[in-house]
Amino acid sequence: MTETSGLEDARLAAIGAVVGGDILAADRPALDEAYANLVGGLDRLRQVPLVGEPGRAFTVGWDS
Amino acid sequence: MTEPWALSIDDAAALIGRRELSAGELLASLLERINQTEERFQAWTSIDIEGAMEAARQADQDSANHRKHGWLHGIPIGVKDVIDTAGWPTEAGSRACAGRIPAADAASVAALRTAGATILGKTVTHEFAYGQNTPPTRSPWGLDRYPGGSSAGSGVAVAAGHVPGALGTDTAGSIRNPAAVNGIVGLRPTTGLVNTDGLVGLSPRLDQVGPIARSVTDCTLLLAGLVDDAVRHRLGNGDDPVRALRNRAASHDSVRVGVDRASWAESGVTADVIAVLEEAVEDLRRNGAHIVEVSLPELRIGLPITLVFCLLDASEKYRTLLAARAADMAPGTRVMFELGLVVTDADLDLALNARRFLQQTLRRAFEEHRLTALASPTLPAVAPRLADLATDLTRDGEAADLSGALLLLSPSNVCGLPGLSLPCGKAGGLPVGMHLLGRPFDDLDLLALGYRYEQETPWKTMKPDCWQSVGGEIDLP
Repeated sequence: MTETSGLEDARLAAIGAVVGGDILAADRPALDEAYANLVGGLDRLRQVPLVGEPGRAFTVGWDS
Repeated sequence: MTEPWALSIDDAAALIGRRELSAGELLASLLERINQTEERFQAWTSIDIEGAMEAARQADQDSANHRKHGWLHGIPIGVKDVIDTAGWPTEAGSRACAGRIPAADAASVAALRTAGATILGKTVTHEFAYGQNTPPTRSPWGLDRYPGGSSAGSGVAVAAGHVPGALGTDTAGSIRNPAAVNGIVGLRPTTGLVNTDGLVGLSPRLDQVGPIARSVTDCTLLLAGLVDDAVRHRLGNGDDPVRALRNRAASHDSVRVGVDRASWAESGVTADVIAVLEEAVEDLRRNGAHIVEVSLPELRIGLPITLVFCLLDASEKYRTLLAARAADMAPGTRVMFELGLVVTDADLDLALNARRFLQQTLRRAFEEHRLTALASPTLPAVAPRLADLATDLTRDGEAADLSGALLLLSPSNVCGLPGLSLPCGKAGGLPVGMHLLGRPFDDLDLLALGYRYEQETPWKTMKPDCWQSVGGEIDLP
């Protein structure tokens, strides 16, 4: 596997284990592009200040 | 007299209540309308004619016996094909679910039946409500135009006069988006308000079932039919939803509406849509609202949060199906499910933290400025031509791209807040929607604000050309 997309072998293997090699190969270009966009999104989330306790339950209302 | 198919829910229910129109007559008119136009619009996956006729017969018999079930007595409703209907196919727009027939109604469908509604059939959805494929549904505003998604069939069925109201689902804008491009009204209710059991959903963190109709009043009636008595009273529209809506609207003289114009520009909103929104904001001001300039650049993180939740939750939910039926899924949908398999717990922690941050930011803005709503365009542009449409949800917006819409709409889903889209004008002959984001569980306030706007502007009556052709050929571009 190439490393050009950033989707490393372990992650590709995890996907291939579910859908099979042929479908993974067919989906690979779109998957690479989508993964690159996900990585960009995660980078933006890393810039968000830490708020509260990790894993704290989320409540929709603003009463608390 | 207005043809029965063209009646609002409110008017049809009143006529049925006075026995000036029967549920059977209303259903027959709608079926004829569908028969005339469905070949072009393809809004439905299936129509339960026999079931609907039986329900209409029962409604009329109950009327004769002075037994009224609720505000939706005898009103036919469309249901997006990701919402379970007992004994009737729910295939989520996917070959991978072909032949799937649920044993029980979704909670939302059961609630509508209890309120007296007739379930007419199932409306077309993007596969698994993911918005990655191109369904056959076509817009009544132009067959070459994007009909909205993922609740495309529900939006088109309502706009084309096939049905006065429909259910959609909204994970990242899929009720409000088709409402906007079809010139109608859609509400994504506060998370938790409507029971989402029985939904072939994507992400319980984001999903919500909600109404699509041709007016704010009709959306209010549908919402009242979707929630239980306790919730209805909590909303403040317990005994008579329309009266409660009007009373709330009448008390809205000091309402404050936030506007963040910088976020419109950052979301790629086109100049013609901005011009329509500026006029809509001015109409709100003329109508008594105090317009408050706000700055919320943090809204942009709604998109990556949505992405992480949606990818992770959907791939967990559909992992078994993906393994068994990958070849039966559209490639775009499949790639999203595949990508979700590599989202990590650390990625989820980032998204959970960002959601808390966004919630705090929005809460602070609403409280500091004492806002009832935050107004924006629903979509960054009018409905693009299908040939120009990009559907990759992971990208960060361009004008003809669905992801631009996600920037505007996803904060509602991420924070569980109500979001209302209602028509506010036209650009280039196509509808433009205004989005109102509200406080949690203040859905009735949001609807009241929309109702008041709707009453003072002409856009509720905006209809596609096909609306005029009754019983004849439709003139479409």
